[in-house]
Amino acid sequence: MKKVENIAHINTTINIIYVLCLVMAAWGCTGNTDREHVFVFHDRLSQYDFFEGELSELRPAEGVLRYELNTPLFTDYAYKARFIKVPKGQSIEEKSGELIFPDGTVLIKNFYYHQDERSPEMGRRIIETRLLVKQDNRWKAGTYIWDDNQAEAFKEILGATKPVKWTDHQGISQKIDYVIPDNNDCKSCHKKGGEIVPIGPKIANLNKMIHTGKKPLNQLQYLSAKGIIKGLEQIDQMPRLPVWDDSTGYTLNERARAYLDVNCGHCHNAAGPANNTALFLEFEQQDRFKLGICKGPVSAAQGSGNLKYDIVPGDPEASILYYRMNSTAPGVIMPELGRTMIHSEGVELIKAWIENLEGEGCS
Amino acid sequence: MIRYLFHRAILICLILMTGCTTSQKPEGTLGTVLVFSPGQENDIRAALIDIKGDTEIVLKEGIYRFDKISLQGPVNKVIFRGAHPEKTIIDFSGQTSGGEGMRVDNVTDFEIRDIQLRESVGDLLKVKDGKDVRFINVHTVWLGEPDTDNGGYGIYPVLCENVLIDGCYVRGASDAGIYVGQSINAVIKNSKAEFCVAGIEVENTINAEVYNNEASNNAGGILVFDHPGLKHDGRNVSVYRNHVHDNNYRNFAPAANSATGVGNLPPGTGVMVLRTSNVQVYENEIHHNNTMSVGILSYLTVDQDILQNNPEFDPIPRDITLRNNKITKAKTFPRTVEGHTLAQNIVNIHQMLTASGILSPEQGMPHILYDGIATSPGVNPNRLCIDETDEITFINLDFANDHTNIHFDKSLYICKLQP
Repeated sequence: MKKVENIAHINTTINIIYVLCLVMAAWGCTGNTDREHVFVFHDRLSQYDFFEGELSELRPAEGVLRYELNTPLFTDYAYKARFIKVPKGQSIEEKSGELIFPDGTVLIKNFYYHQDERSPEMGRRIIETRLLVKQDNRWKAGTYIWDDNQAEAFKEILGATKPVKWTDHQGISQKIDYVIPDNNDCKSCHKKGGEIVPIGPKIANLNKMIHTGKKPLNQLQYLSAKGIIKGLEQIDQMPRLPVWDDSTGYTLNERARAYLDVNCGHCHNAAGPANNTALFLEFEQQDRFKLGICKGPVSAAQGSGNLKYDIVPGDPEASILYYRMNSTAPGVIMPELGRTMIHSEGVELIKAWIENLEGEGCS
Repeated sequence: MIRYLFHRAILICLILMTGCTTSQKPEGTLGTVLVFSPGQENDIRAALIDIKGDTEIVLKEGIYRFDKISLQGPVNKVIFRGAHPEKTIIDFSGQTSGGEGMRVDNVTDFEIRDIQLRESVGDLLKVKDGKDVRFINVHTVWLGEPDTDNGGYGIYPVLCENVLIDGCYVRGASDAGIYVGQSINAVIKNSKAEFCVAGIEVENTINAEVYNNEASNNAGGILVFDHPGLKHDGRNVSVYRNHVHDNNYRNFAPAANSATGVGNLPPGTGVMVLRTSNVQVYENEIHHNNTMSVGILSYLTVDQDILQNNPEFDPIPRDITLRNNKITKAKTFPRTVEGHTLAQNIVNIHQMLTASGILSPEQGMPHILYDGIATSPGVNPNRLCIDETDEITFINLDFANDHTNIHFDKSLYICKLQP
């Protein structure tokens, strides 16, 4: 009897060794490659419970907050409803001017078109919802495409093309093939030093007056009061990105530089996907050559359009920057992804900015 | 019995543990192998999106059609292979968006091999921020008559470290067929470039070897140069035992005659070294490149305003060595020089020299063209070194003084330090 117990005991020990071995082996395997970060995107947008009631009303549930930007990225005239969810009890922290998001943060961006921009009450159609989720200190991207009756949005990693129609603010009917990017396309813009990063929610771009209650309120203050951001001191001293289309509040130069920052600077910076071009368009950039002024193209090929310089002060027609913003041809169009239409108002702004740049021509 | 169980447990344990290290696996086999056939294009895209590294993607024979594809790291150890560059073909005809056909970012230990990519609107194959990147038996091709609407670059590693391009073939690029940019440690060998504007370009790259290649029927064969304002200046480039011939094709770059772009490359160029430093060009066969068989130029030749626009930039090439090359050329310029600014400049200088009797009418433009712009006066301050036979002729074009002190004496450029 005792012997049997003994054997059973030894058997248990061996079994434990087996289990330990398997655990160690598995650990050894994952240790050899990048650690697996197990965040699984749901198949349907409704599964996250970001919104209450009808999904398409985008009424944020508790803990989900809407936010706005001073100057947004242009995406074929789509409207964007942006939300953020920070895990309960946690906050975004400010560290030397950057926002550090806690693990579990979700950025939710809904792209939609009004049927008629002149009367939004006529209804809208949401095309896609993009999520950026921070997990184990890394951002991951997921895209959800809305069904035709606007009841649900479904995960799609391969992207898609959707025909979209609307009437614009001038009463002109517009019709495009809206391109929903695939997951690798997302990464080709949302990248810094090889890792995915959000583009919009930065202190300067969030630093704006918003209308949530009776009186206007600074959004950074609002987010701080809600506990979403903590540690912000002297909000009135914080940098503010100009509003690209507010010509009463900001100078032409400020507006143009804000526009270039958001629409180009996310790639065209020293750590961004276009850092091979030597053209750096962040708002803070002060070096005229790096800004493209009288700088020859590096690898633009047909994108240069037979022009010698990225920017020729006073002469937008001779400037590659203007040429590429004013095109929809693949190989020429800038940004490379995310638009199929020309943003006339943006192009006009940059045209006026180049016309008014100091200096005459490039020798 | 118990001992046996113990041993078995430990043995299984060891097998499990060692099974994890890829070094124990037969060479060429990665952890995951995914095999695809034509028609599975979306599955291939999904595989590239989901890729976890240590993965080999195999495309069986056939034609695959994509608008564009991309692989975005950070990820380790990926092989992307076909069956044969004439049999596995990725076709990007009708591309509607994106700057390149195939784009690969932030991959360490990436190999693409035995496959053809063709007909993209933008560049065909761009690999950025990669480390240990290998292109083996890859063809990048724009078919038909070389055209301005063709994409810019064929094989295009940029900001990479440790690049190997071996046995590749490029055709029809409206900029450069093979273009290694802003990289560290690159080897381009056993490859062929034809009917491109520039066959092979090494730009702002540190430590490069270019050998046993053939560049023919491009506007220019092999170019080594630096642009201003980039991550680092290039240096230490060896170009040897290449066959660079008949590069007299018209310059069909979209930015024709643009100040700094390849549009400024004179049709009829064999090997051109522009700006950069410590370049050795030796033992090459350089024949019938009938405008500028070999050119050594400062950046001022392509952009005379560069110092106004970028005062920090030093446009002068340094430590350029030419030795033991075989160079022959026709006496007449190729017809393709017509209408091309820099090439026409060279033609005009030649006409001036024959009109004034400095060159006899039956002498064509010399083989080696040096723009003569140096950092300081005096003999050879920037250590140009020419060790070539007497049959190989030389001209200092004296660009700095409007060609007033042109001379033909290559013995002024003695190699003091033999490599």
